[in-house]
Amino acid sequence: MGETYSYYPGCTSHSTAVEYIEASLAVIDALGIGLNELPDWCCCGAASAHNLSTSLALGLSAFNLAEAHKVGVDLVIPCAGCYGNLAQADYVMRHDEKERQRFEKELDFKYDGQVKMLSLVDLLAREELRPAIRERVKKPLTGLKVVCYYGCAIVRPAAITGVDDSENPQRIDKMMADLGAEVIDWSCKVDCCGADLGLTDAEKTTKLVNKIVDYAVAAGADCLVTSCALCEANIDIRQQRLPILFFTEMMAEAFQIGNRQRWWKKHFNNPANLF
Amino acid sequence: MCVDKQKNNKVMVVGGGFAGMTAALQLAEQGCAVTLVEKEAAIGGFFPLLDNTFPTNSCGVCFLSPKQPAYCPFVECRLHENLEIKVGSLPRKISGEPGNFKVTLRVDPLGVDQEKCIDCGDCSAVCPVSVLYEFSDGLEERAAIYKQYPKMVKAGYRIDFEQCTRCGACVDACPVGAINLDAEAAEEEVESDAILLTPGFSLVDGGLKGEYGFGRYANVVSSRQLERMISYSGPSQGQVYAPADGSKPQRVAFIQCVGSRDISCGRGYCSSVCCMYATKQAMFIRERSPETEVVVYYMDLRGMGKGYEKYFNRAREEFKINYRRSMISTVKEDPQSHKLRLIYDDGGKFIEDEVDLVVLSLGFDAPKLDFAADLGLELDDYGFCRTAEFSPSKTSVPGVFAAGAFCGPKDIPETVMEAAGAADALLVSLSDS
Repeated sequence: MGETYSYYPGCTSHSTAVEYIEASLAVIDALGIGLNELPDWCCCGAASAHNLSTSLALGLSAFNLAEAHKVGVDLVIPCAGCYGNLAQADYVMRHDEKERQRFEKELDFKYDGQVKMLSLVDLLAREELRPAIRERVKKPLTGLKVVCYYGCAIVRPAAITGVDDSENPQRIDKMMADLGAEVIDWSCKVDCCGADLGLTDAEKTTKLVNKIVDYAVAAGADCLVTSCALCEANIDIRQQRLPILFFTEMMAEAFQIGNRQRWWKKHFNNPANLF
Repeated sequence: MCVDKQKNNKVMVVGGGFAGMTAALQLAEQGCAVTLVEKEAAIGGFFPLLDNTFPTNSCGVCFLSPKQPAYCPFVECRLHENLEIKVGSLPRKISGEPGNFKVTLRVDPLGVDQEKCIDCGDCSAVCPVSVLYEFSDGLEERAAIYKQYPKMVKAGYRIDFEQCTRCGACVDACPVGAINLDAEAAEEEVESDAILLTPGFSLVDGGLKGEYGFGRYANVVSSRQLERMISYSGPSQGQVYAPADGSKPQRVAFIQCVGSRDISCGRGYCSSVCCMYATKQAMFIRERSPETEVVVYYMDLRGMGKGYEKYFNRAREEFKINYRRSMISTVKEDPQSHKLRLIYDDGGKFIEDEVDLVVLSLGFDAPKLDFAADLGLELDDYGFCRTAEFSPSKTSVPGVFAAGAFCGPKDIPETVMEAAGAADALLVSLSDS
């Protein structure tokens, strides 16, 4: 393809979602897309900063935004949480003249709105990339029944993410169909997985997770596919009924690339039997 | 106001719904030469959709007419000698001043000669095209040549030229040669001394609130679809059914304020009629199927007219309709049974309700008028017509009046009242000049 993007790894890529990042980098490479890690990136503030201080949360993301502007190409952000924070900062830059000027001064950069914040779904589930993905499929995921789970940050709020079907998103669904899987429509695509309550209130999170899994199992799904590391962790560790996979792992499986056996072992519900 | 004096006055009424029909009859009766302009293939507006209206639960639209009508006022419009109806027409541009307006009409090709057509339906029967029928919000299907609404007095057939394959089957089938597949859009200029705008409203799209699953879950229907179900001219001859399998629902839930009082979708206003029409629909469900339970989930019950509170009480006591004050955040579908689940708030406790059919009570959208900006017509933030505070039918443009739902959501009785008032105000302005 010849395209090159900046890449913001975030902390999960070095911790709970190593398999996600390895799979993502493998498929991105297979599709001929270039990625350069953003120099000097810092924490996005995660789920904590915006609970403590709005200006701290915004400041951290503005810093990363400024770094991306210095490079000058669109920024790819695999983690849904990081994406949410950076997209939020980008939204503020576009709509709040005063804040924009403040950050431009403090961080010594010029915001021109030309550097877009892209989730991994924005990057890989683009309409124009679909033929290349279909072409790359070596072993179609035929017969595999999947439900796609989007969670919150990559689709909502629609004003920030720019997603027009935020209550019934389709992009991962279409991609799984392109990989040959049987995609099942279901009701919990954008439900809450508990997010950071997973750390502080296990009981509530377990309740939320079980509801999602109940619906997925009732719909006849063999596995649940997501693009968020926190969703994956929350849903995977709290039940033993359904394997949870990242959408790029599914791509890697269909492309037959990457160290898949190693990734499967990183899941609590081992998905190896599915393939 | 002497009838002779009005004889030479030409007035135009734009939009042939309840407000337009009322005002046109009033003005025609006063001796004005009235041109009633209607963008669809026939006048009627929302009238053909409604078998019954609240709070009487009867058709009861005779009161549209200024005097005891011999026929339905809807027919009277066609029969009145001072009233000319132009269908398929919509003003594109309005210029001039009071006493001397020039209106450029865009006349859409209907493809069917409304005068020749004998309403036999042979054309639709042979048409190979089948698409969703807008009139019932996609609950039924129609051909590319079709009757725009049931209940039409005469004709009302038109061709959907976007769907038409030009196969010519209908032309061969038509016994009177009324069909022209080469019809093209035209323009027409009409002079008028004064103009009354009654373009009405449309219902919001049920898909606007994606969390309720309209268009996604088979058993989530819009209020428009339900109105067709309880209509004797509808697909089920008046019986309510769950579209997934056609079965009779045991439990039905109404969700109120869909696209009303909701700034998240840019509609901060109350549509003012949904509490009443949902209650009417609920009553008809209970009447036709007494074993079906009905719950209405609402924010506030707003009965804006005389006797409306009594109507709610009747719904509760006589029809045993259950009203629950709770905003519903989402609708989930059981993937196997297609039953729908919604969670409501019962004094701080969350309770799951499982139902067979969900009805979304859709709010009002303002009409979109091409000529409004050019004419300098002031609209409010939502696109409804802004009228003078103490002259509720006067718009910001002298000589141009407005009435009905175009001035803000309202029910039929209020619309008729306002339309009669606007007709009067228009007549006064003519006698002043």
